[in-house]
Amino acid sequence: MKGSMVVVALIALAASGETPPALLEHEQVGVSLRLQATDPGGAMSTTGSGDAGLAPGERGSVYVAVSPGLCSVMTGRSPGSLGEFEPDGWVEHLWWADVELLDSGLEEIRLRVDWKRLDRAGDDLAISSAGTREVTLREGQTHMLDFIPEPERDRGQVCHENVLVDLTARVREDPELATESLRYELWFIDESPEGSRTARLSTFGKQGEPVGIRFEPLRWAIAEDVFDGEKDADLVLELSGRLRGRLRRDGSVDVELGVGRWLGVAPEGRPRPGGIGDGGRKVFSVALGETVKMVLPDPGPNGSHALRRTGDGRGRTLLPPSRGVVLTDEWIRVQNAPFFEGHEMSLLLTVAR
Amino acid sequence: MRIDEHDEATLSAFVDGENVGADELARALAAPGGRDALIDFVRLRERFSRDDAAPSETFYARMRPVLVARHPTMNRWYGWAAAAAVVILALAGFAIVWRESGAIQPTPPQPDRVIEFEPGTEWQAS
Repeated sequence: MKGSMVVVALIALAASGETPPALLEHEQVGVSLRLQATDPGGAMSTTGSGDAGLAPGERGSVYVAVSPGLCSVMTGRSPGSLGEFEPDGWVEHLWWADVELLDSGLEEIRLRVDWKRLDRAGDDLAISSAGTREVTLREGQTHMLDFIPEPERDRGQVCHENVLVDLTARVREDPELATESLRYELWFIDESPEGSRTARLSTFGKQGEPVGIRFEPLRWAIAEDVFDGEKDADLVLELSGRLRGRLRRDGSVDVELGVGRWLGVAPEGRPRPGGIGDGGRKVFSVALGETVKMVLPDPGPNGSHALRRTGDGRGRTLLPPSRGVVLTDEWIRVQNAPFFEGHEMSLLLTVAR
Repeated sequence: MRIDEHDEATLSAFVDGENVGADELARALAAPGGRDALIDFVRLRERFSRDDAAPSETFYARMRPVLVARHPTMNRWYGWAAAAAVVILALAGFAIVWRESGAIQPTPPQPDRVIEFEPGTEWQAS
């Protein structure tokens, strides 16, 4: 049953022409084994990393090592195996990872990680923990491998409170296109029988750089005189997210778009004090100058949004009962299904160089 | 003896047909050299009235390519074009100010392609 569902999903994907962009031959994924250390009484920061650029199917070995008290750090990519590696005599802890890039694209990066931690035992380093994992990450996400809570306080100077070792991966930019910038023109459109509402924004980012997007909220006046000071009530819709584009040598642009939508009731002209959200993520390719429309699913039909009333308890709704705005003695409530019946929400995106 | 400038101007004006006072004319004529000056002015006027000098054909032939004949209708067209340009520039400026003030919003572009977020996989409801 599960197998047939996968086949159906693949056929649907192929038929839609929306195959997620994959890594090209000349592109690599940068894999980093990072050592994150916490300053005494201060913040955590990355103090070193062993980095390797891998093509799909390629393996690489990376390591990080620290001295007692977490004062000195040694990092790198090793051309040989762990057995051939000769660490400096001051190394107290060593983390070693053999990493294979299984698959990669804007959608996700799949790695197989064979990792080990070695601790000082007399004159030698001995394996204290190890494991093999298959890890799936989106660009920039991290996967924690190990943690040392206390340094060796009885061995002299202590430079960091603790260390954390994690793994992160990111597509390495094509050197020919690494300095490119992309301009994004976005529209958020809500079309309904009453007309259409739009919010527009322009932004830009460097090649492969994630940029934040936030549209000006859309507001619907739903009731009057329901808050202190005879203030009216609005239903507020906010749309924000993150966008990443990567120009390819053939002129197409791989796009990763993540959006979150929030709905809530607010006093007129005021920020939304709460609400209910939904959202999604889409990875696709566009041509430069092409305008793509992304239709957003309807807000959850069973969802509703409420805010406690203040004021003298008078007030009235501004919409007919069929629109799902309900006023009680204590609450003002909006039901998604009747309120958004006949609405279509969409995003328009145009990418230019 | 040379006639003074004032008397000379009186005689010149008289020859050009302008109104000149009789006493001023009499004094100018009586001045030394006045009579000769009057005769010189009359002769000069007579010569100018007979002057029919005109540029040679060679001059016309050389200047013809340089000078572009201006047709009356062309002049009228240039006038209308200039007026239209002024009106267009004024309207464009007004539109920019109006748009910047937020009075109008540009319209969204027409999409070249439509894609959807697949509920459940690409879109998570609350």
